[in-house]
Amino acid sequence: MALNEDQPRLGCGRIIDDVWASIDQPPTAHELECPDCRSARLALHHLESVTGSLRDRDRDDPALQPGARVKEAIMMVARAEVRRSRRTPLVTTALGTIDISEQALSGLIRFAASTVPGVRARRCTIAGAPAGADPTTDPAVAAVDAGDVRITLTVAISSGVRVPATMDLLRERVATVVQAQTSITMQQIDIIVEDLYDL
Amino acid sequence: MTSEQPRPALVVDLDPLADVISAALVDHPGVVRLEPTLRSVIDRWTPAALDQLHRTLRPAGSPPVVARDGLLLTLSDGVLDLKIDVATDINRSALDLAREVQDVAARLVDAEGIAVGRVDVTILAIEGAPAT
Repeated sequence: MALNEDQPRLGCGRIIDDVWASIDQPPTAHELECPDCRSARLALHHLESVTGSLRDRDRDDPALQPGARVKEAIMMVARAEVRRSRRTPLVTTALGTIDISEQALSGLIRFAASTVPGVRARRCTIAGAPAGADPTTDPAVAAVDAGDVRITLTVAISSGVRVPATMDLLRERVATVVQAQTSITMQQIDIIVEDLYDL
Repeated sequence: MTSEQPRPALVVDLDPLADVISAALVDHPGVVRLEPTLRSVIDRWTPAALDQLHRTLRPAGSPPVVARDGLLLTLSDGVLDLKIDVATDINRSALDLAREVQDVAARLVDAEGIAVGRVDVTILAIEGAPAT
């Protein structure tokens, strides 16, 4: 029976928060009749309009707009946060771990693919067994086992190249570059040619 | 006579050390940049506000933490742990470079007389055009 005993009540017994919760709705039959509720609604309407006008003024106040440097810094953080995705542990040295983010690995693979004449890399997805089985790890940043990295690479290729030979070269190039940069030996490289382009 | 007396508390100002490590890593050949974090950016804007934020977010007694772009130093029981987020140049092996980053950071910490704990490095980007 002590529920909400510490919250302010109107003379009619209603909690002021309940009135506020329905302030944007038409008044109920009780609120039409009750002088306490009518008075409270009037005061809350006034409060809402004042705070709304303050919000609008702040939104348009040039002095409160972030500068170009602030916006750029925010965007740099946003881009870096995107790169802080799933990670693949590469090695544990005497000093600590070294790992690579999925975004970095994906970018490296697309770069490697684009060095093959007649190939334009589009998308790259990385799959693999999770490294470790820590149930507390956020799935969004869970690590991928470096010994079981499998990728699917989507590309467009020039209509002037021979597809089988180009695919062989592409697989070799991607594997070589990734191995040289990260020491990862990929278990599977699936390639989807989704488009042809004219030279 | 035993050595049961408590060891004097290690008083370390991590800010100058963080600046030194950050500068050394950014200047290291092959490191394109240290990746910013929300924390390091706020740190640059309003140190006073960040101090308040730290006090709010970290309970009393938490180990001292100092952040710079891509660099997080945590001192616990006299041992300093580092987390480093780097973007590396495509013309260097990212893995080799990350090892060098670990070594550089550990050497600088050691030079300050502080025990080095973990130095964890994450490669967040590999950038640049290959040398021709």
